[in-house]
Amino acid sequence: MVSLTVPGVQDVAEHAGTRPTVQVKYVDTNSGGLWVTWRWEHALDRPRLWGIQPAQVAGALAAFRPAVPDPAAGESLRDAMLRSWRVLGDLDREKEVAWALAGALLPQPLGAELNHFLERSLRPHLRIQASAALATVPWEALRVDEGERVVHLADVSMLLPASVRNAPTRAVTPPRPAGPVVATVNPVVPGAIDGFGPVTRRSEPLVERMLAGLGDRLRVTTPEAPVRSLVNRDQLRTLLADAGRFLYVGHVTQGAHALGTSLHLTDGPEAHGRATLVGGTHRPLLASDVALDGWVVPSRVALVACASGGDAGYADPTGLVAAFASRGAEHVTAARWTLPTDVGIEMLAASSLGPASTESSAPYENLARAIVAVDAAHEADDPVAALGAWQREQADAWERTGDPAYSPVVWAALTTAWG
Amino acid sequence: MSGAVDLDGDVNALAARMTEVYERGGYAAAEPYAERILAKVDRWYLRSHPDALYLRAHVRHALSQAATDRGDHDAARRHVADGLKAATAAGRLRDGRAAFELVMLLMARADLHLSAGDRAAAAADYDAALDVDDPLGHPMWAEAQVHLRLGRGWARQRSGELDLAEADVRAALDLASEHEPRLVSLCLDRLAMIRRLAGATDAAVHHVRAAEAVAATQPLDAARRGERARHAASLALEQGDADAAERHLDEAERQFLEVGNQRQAAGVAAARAEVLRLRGDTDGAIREARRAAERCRTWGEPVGETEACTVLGLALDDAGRSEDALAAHDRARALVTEPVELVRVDVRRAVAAYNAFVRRANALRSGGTGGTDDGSSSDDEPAAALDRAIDIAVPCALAADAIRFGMPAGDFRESWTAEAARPVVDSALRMLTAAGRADEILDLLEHVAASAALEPLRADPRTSQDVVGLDLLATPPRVRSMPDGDSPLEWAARAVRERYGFEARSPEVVDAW
Repeated sequence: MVSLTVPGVQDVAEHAGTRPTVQVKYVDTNSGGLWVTWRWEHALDRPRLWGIQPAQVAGALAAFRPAVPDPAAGESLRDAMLRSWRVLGDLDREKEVAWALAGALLPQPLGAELNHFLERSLRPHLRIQASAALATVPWEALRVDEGERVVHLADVSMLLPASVRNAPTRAVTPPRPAGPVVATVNPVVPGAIDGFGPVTRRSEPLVERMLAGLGDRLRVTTPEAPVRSLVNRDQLRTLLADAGRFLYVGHVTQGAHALGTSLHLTDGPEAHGRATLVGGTHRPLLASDVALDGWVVPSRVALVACASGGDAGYADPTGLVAAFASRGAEHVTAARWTLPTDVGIEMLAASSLGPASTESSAPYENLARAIVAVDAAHEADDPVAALGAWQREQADAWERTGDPAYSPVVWAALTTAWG
Repeated sequence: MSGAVDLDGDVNALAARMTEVYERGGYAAAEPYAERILAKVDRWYLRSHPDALYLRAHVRHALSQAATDRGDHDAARRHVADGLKAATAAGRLRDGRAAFELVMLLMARADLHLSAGDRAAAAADYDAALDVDDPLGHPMWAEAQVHLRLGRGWARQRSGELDLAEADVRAALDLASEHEPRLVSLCLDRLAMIRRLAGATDAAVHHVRAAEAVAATQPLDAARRGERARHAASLALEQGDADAAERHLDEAERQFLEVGNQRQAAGVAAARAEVLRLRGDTDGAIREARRAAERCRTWGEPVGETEACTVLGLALDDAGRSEDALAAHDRARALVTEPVELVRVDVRRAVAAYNAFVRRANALRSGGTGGTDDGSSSDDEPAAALDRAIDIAVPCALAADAIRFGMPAGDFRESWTAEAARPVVDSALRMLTAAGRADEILDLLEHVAASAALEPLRADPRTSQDVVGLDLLATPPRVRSMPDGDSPLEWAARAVRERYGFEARSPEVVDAW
């Protein structure tokens, strides 16, 4: 029997394991409010219902909206980044927004239940299925106390729709912990199309060292240029079929629907696929190409690219994350929003330097460090916990210093879907 | 219209005259000439005469259109049947002119099938017409092809196949751009209508503006001027500009009547009622909507009648007469057959039913006697009224959510889900909350949280053009919201099957957790 009032904590208090896990799902109302339901995996028959009135959430979402670096209609990428930076590059403002979001979005009874487990030194795992209105909310970064973010209290992951996660035909690829790693970093997009250049610096020692560290497990099509590879969809598909994991660092662009989300490889007009050509020279790889054409992908997939994890923003949330999950991935790490490059961070940081500024932490390596962290997380037993641990470090450094090198604009964008 | 024939000089002159008057006054003006030509060519001894057969097909088409315009569908059907007989016989005589008449008559029959609600028969006729080749390079072939695609698009639009409808209209637009520039604005207006139905209002406005700009540069015939004005009125209504809407409606009605198209003129009346509603003149809107419904029924305009009943229902609800509003929406429901239309009507029925509950509950709270339309009330009435609203709203929500599963992956599916389906679900959730039916709230929340599907029913890896996706995704499984027990919404899933004729979900079951 489900109740419209949330029973006390004691209803779900008993937990035998070490990691109490709760699934939280948000559904938008017509008027800007939210329906929320959550259930602890150790108490499946005691789901909770909650409602958040529009007035309770409108202010926090309005404050958060300018922080999201995704360009609005008619807005240039540069303007979107600058807009976002005024929040995510400013510690005080960012803390205010992160605080407001936590207060508005986390139901108090859920907070009490989380607290119950924390008091018993149990670290909960929050699995969150966001609604379209909350698609870009950085749950890990929400601020719950002084110097404390959600990621300090709990592991956080993205929960895919049950119809995708538990689809009868979905077969999760068995993990291959020491298996080959397919790394597609800065794949060359044919035609020198504006906006599709490399996302890292030409020379990126951190990333190069990371790839070199993979030794003979590294699978690339151009070993002589692992950070500027030439790889088309057929090659990638072949490589992925028996890989242990996949790391993509490059460009993702959004479509009018989630299955139209594109990943950009070295595919010219001859490539077979659903996407129309870009600039007459390049055919993107769509989420639908991956999801519907029988690809087999490894159990771990990381897509470090702009809004690669934007699934929840669509009414039909079947973007790249769902597409890779449906084809065998158990863990998919992706970005909620548009990521700035490290050169971009320098531009942003310079924009906020005052006339009295005498020093800067440039050159910045926010994105490069994120790539390395995601790669390391996918090597770990538990990518969700490992990525969370890195995000905690970044949050601590950000709170301590306010240094753009630790701005949430990169680390808070990343999240992992698991299941 | 053309009437080249060497049958008899008098017939030739009549045919030329018919063409002339049609250009100015439409089919109604052409009708007397068509009758006179028919009297001359419809003779037993001319049944195998190529010119006579061709002319018979030609004028039967004109007569069928005139009958349709004045709402006499039975007469229209008879004319079309005889015209098709003549066109087929002419075709057997290898008369190349018959091909064009065959296309026009098949199109006319498809329209009649649509009016009668037989979409399958209409689709078959449109498809058959599209298969006809043009052996003679008929000067009006391209125009007919534009109308043919617009016609099939209209049929698909009515059945909710918005993506396919748009593909047809885009094909029509391409043809019109190349061969019939004066039809470009018509195609753009139709595109706007489809986008509007999919909830993409911005795109709709863009297309209407483009249509306006194109139309301003071209001389349009009266029928087209009427349709253009009707589209402009829709836009004005959406933007809340009652004065502009009224001006456009006046113009539309005047143009339709000028060519004797009583049917479409009657359809304009429903929008007039909406103008009054927009101005806050509820009583006037009720009166006008009733008149419009009656007029549309008289002239055989079921789409307009449905719209009039809908406006009537909304106006009655505005007036606090929820029970009467519900009855008006029930009338609208009886006029539609396609699932998408049924969902749209049921959304309004649900709102009216819910408002009836709210009024009863408020009246009871304030110590009144119920505040119902008939003044009667009891303590149980609000609960019964709420149950009735839920009985409409929840199956409607499941159906609205499931309609996307018949749409190919693409932006129409996305628009439908975001703009049409989700709001209905929220309304249903609010009603369930008012009733305290927590099990069903949870079931519905889990249901909509698990609507995404990635199982291909038909995967087509070819490059897709524009908005028309080629992939069709399977209907996702039902979601089990509690570890034991049946779905609390099983009753609603059954109702979807019975009321809308499809399944809300596939028979498989997956856990929500």
